[in-house]
Amino acid sequence: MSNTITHLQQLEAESVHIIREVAACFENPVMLWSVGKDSSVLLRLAEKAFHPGPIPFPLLHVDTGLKFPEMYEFRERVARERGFRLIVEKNEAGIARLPDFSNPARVCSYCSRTLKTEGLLAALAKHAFDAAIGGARREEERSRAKERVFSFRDEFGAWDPKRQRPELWNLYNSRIHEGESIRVFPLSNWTEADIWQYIRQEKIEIVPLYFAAEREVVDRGGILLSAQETRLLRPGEKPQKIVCRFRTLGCMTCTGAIRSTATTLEEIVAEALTATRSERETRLVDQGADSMEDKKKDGYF
Amino acid sequence: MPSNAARPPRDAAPNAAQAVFGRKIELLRMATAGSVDDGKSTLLGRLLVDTKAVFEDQLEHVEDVNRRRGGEGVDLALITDGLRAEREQGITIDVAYRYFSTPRRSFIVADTPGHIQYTRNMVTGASTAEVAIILVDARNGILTQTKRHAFISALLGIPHLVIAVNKMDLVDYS
Repeated sequence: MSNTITHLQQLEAESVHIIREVAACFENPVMLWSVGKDSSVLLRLAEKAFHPGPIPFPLLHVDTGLKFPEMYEFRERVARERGFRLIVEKNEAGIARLPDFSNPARVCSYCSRTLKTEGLLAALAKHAFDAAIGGARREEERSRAKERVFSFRDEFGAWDPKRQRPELWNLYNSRIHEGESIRVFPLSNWTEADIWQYIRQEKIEIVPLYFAAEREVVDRGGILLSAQETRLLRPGEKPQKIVCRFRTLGCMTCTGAIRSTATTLEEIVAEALTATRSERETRLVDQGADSMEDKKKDGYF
Repeated sequence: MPSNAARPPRDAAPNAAQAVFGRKIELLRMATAGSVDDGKSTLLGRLLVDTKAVFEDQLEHVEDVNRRRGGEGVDLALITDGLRAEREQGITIDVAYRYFSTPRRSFIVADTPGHIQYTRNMVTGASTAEVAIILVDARNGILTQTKRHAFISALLGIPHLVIAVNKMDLVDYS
């Protein structure tokens, strides 16, 4: 324990160490980039880990085609400005077979299984990546709370929570057989409040959807879905204009906004610290018992 | 330690953001240790609830799981026992990491399993700790597994060990 460095500096040092370990230990690593706030922090940490050199591995966005237009705009611009190698992969066959939008929950579970999980596994196999860095945090969800920093996946990309490897101190086991892989989570020990503090401290740019503004939405049981995805509108339904923002970002079909007037990072942190419900509750797709544990066993992040 | 927890009020803190941005806080890593059923997960669940680190929807979920098992109220251990197999069997299989903070410190707590079969997972969780809380069930006293976890904690070089005597109400302590 040190009195001279802050908890954010300790978390940052731990994450930078993990990211460098990946670059040193694997032949063909990749960093997943979902364009969300955690991904933005991850990107900054990767830049710091190798500065003044470039990030020595590509960034991979597994695209579902259902993300917000603001996210695509942000992705293209940031990739152009920062100059890292960006790979975008889409499960085109899966996107062509999307179920109809009358039941958003069905679209979400299809999207999660076919577009995200299968899309990710196909992309990892196509490029023969042996390690994939992701921005998941243990605080987010109860099965993630159980996961190692270097999380072993078998040849099918599956996580077996009963067979996790020992992981002592800051020594990470990178040994795998052909076809197996490691998912790496440098942000394991960060909380949502830590992420926001770091974004403010480092002046990290994030997608504007995180800040409150008047947006056209439809209310689905308290979850405000964006009317930009017009397929979500029921016949004759008129979207409402509501001042709101997004606590997490995913697909337009499954990520809801919350009513909020927070337009600054300070206000967002105040909200995060006094929130009474977890952030993933605004995701249609995470609801249901043990859904994340099941998805991870299937190869999801 | 009472097994039922009232849902915590989460007061709106008007200066919450200022409190976060202005201050320098330190990080403290703790791990629980001790024998099976000495109350490691329950103690951590209690700490999390009392520091308001558990969201309403997470508590509701825990209540729901407990009800389906025929229990009543909130079983605090279920807050950290996040795997399906753990909740079905009422045991901790692998280490869970949980987070809470006070105005002075940010805490990372590793809740480790007590069964001898899962000792390697206890070692994983304890290896990064600066403080180990070793629980002792007042009814059973020091067991082999208590000694083993204390020895492992010393072997790993954890600088601070705290012994917590639990379940004193069950031996009519007053």
